[in-house]
Amino acid sequence: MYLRWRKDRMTMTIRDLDDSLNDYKRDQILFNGEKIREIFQEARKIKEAQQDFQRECQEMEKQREEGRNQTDRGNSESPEIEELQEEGKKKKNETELWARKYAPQGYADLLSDDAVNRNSITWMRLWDECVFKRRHTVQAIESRLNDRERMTFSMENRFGNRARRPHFKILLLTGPAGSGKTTLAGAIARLCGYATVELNASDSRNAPDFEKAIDGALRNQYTIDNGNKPNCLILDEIDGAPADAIKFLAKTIQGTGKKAIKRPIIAICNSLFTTSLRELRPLCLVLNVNAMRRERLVERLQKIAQIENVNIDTFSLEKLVELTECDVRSSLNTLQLLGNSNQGKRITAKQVEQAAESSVQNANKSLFEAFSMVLEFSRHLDNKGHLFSMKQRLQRIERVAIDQVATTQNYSLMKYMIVFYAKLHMIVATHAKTHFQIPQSDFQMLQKSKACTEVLSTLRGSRHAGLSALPLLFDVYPYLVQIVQPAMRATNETLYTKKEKDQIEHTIQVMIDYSLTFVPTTIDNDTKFVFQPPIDQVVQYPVTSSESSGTDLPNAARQMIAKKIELIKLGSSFSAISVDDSEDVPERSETPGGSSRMKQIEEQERNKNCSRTEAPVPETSGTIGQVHYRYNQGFSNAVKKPVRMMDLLN
Amino acid sequence: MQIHMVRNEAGVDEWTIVELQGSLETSGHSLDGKILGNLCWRKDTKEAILIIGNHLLEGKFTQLEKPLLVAVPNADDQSYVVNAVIRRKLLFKLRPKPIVTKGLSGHMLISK
Repeated sequence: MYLRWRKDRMTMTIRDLDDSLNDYKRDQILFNGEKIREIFQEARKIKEAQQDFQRECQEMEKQREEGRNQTDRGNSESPEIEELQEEGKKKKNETELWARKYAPQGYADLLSDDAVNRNSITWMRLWDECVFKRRHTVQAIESRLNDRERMTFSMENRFGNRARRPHFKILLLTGPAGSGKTTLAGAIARLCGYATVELNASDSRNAPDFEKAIDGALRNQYTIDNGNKPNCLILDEIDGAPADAIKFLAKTIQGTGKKAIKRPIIAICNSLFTTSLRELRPLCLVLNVNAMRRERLVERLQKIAQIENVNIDTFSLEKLVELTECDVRSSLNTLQLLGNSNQGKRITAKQVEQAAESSVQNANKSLFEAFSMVLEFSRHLDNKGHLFSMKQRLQRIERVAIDQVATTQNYSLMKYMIVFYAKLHMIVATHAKTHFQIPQSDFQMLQKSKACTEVLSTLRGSRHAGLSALPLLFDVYPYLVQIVQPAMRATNETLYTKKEKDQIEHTIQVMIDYSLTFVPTTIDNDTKFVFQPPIDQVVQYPVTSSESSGTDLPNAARQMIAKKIELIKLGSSFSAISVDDSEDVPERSETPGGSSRMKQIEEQERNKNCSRTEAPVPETSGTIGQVHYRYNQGFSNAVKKPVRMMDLLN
Repeated sequence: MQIHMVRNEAGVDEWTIVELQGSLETSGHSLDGKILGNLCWRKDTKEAILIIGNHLLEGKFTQLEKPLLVAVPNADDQSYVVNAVIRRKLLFKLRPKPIVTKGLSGHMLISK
């Protein structure tokens, strides 16, 4: 029996091989002689193996007949079955996953869609010119493409005699889990004569790691240990890679000249529309690996079941494929699980259903879904919309609770854990929809605290040099916010009384000392002047706009102060010049000379702005500042022309 | 009449002209003994900065087309003693920037 299976498998493979060969011919995708030779060699090997096998079979048959002759008919333990069981035992012990064990060995074994397989191979062949220096291959491929395909498989423009590369440097395979993307990538890379370098989610994938991988795999020529095969980089699960790494990748593949990558890259992702992939997407040739055809998968599963001695009928296999949504890996794993647990017994469709449900559904379920299972009745409705009985519901919850919610490893207490969820369900479950969210307040507070620390570090008055930030925060800054916002009339700058002017001046001095200022910020289409750094946000509780009117400076006053601060800051950058020759540095705001000087400036500004004809007050003290400079503006559009003295005299 | 230009025996200095597009005003007082302002040079661009009152003037050296001599008449009226030569001038022709020079926290020194 076993021999027959093997024989069947071989003939199947050969048929597949022939089919695929015909396929190539039909589609006129040119494989060079070497490739065809390879395939024929493979076929020949298989045929030889088949012949060997037939010989073996005949021998076995003879043996069996002899055995039958020797032993009684009633003895059911024929040598064939013995051998079979031995093999079966061997298989029970082995730990290798079937998904890996029965991975496709060649192109003919691939289960994924033929069109996708063909397209990806065509793309790989486009690299031949660059990698293997086979220009004719690419030319042949190009000449056989129709217009639409030519768009997809376009090559770079030719610069001189340099080998061209495909327009798309990356092949991006996308599709649902278990649709054979990784397998396809590996298979086509090997088939086209590359050594594969894989990088998947288990490797760390920052930008530097990518750089290392790309440097090592793609830019270097041949490596020693891979038998002189060029490398092909396979980036598995690229949608999980950090965004900066993908950005780096996008930048790298656009490199030209010496930095240009010279080997194909295949990227694999589940979801094409991950935000991090946005930059990469237009640079890739995107091939959609759809979930495979059901019949194909069932056929393959049948073969594997036969080989692995799993007693399962086609109907159950179809059910399995349906439940796993044509996920090859998942269906194979489930089949292996069933095969191991049932040990030769017949596997029913119901068992398949159970196994698939536990392995597939829960893998897809998120934590939120598990919680909504506990908290919502709508999750426990049957097909007709009736609520399950309490017992059924609790059973379902139990399953979810064990698989999803319980994450501690104290297994002795685990049996009590379910009680909580059952009780929770009984008490609080509703028909209404519940909304879940991962708690984020922790992160928000962290951000806020960072921002506050940042503000505090920039705010250091010259007088508080030795103090730490905390006492300042509690004892100084709250008052500071009040101090720099004195009660002021909202009126024209020129109409302030002397006292008010002093107040403003004081405010400005304090603000400069703490390097505070107001900056215009647009809030709700309304430009407002806010503190910069935002000290008020640090020391005050957030106030609504209706409350804030009490203590805050009016916007106009803030604008005025901001303008003055800016003027003073501009001036201060040149103030050092006056320091150069005079030893006594003016002691900031305290010196009378300083403040009088402020007034003078203010007055000057007033003269300018309001065109008042007030004479500047002459200063008596100090030596600088008495000489004023008046710029002679204006222009001349005089026309120069020589004039004779004679003409003037006449 | 020929006027002899006699070279000063102590040597000839090089002077420079400061040319302003504007006028200096003292509101009625004389300029005598007053400090005009501060002159310094930007390190990077070699431009001169002249600060007069509240104005900051930016200028640079320009070579005179013909050098000028600074001479004083000798006692005999027949000759002049050349004290200095002027080959270049410091030209401030741009519109001055209004500034406020005032000591504040964090003096910034502009080194020459």
